[in-house]
Amino acid sequence: MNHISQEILSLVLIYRYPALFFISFVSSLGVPLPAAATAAAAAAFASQGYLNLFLLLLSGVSGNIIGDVTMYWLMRKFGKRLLYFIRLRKFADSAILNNVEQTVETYNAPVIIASRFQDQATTLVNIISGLAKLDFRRFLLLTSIGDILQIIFYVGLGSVFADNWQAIYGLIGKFGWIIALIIIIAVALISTRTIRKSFKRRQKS
Amino acid sequence: MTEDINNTPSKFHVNWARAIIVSLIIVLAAVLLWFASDVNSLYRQGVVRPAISRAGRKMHTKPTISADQIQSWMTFRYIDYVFNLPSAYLPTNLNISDPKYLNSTLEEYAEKNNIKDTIFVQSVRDSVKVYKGGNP
Repeated sequence: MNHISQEILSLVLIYRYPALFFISFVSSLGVPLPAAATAAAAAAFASQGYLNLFLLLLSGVSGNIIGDVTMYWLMRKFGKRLLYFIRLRKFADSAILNNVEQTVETYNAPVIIASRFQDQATTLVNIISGLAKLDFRRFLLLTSIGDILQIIFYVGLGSVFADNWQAIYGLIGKFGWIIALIIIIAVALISTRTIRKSFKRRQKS
Repeated sequence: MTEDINNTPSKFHVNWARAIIVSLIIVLAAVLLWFASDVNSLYRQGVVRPAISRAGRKMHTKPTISADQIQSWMTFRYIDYVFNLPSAYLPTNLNISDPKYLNSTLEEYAEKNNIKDTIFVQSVRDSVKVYKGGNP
């Protein structure tokens, strides 16, 4: 377990639910903190009786949702301007970004829900959804479903492996990016299909 | 002759999108194998087995950790709670006089009192073992 993880676990033990809320919130904004693994560890603390499971779920889910929505609105309001400011005007107006935006627009439900299971993928999808100006109500609904499923999954994992959660904590940290990879493959596959379809349509017309 | 060569489609045309996806799938398969071997070794160490047998465990039995699993990032309050220690046990055994010790981690306390944290963590483990030996 690295030093940051140890500091985070200490914070959870000392400040409990506000700490969980803060870690989930900050992680949704793109700060690379092990929020999923922390939720699993907190679930182990809850199964030992040190934390309340309901409050743990509430603080984790609310932190995630508020963080996701904040990132979405930041990107929706200032995303393109930010890309122009950091001299990525070409990328902001490029066909690649438009295609990714189209993919998220077309296949938003599976992409948004699946991305909630990995911290970095969550941030990426929040950014793209904001840039693509996805319908906010739909984004909020899908994000909420995804966040609830994510917390239930990791909290369930922590509860089941409560006796040896430290080993599982390491495992989640090590292999969390497998889920990110699956999401990248899924997005790549879907993007290729979308590009091919639009290319065929253009050829026909 | 030259025109013919130019008009012939290249046999070595690469579909980059497909190549990237295939290589990602190969990487994913390799990582999944690595993951499976890690889980397998955890099973052999007996980490996964308690989770499997947990379904048959009585509901009132709380999962707990062993004294050897005590780490420097844990707080005194958490250790007291998990091992069901009387509130005066650790302060008496480890000569703790700081009234705010409960919410500090073992590492913080050791640092504040110029003790090497590994030595201090070991002394906490030993104290817990002694208590558990007398009160299983």
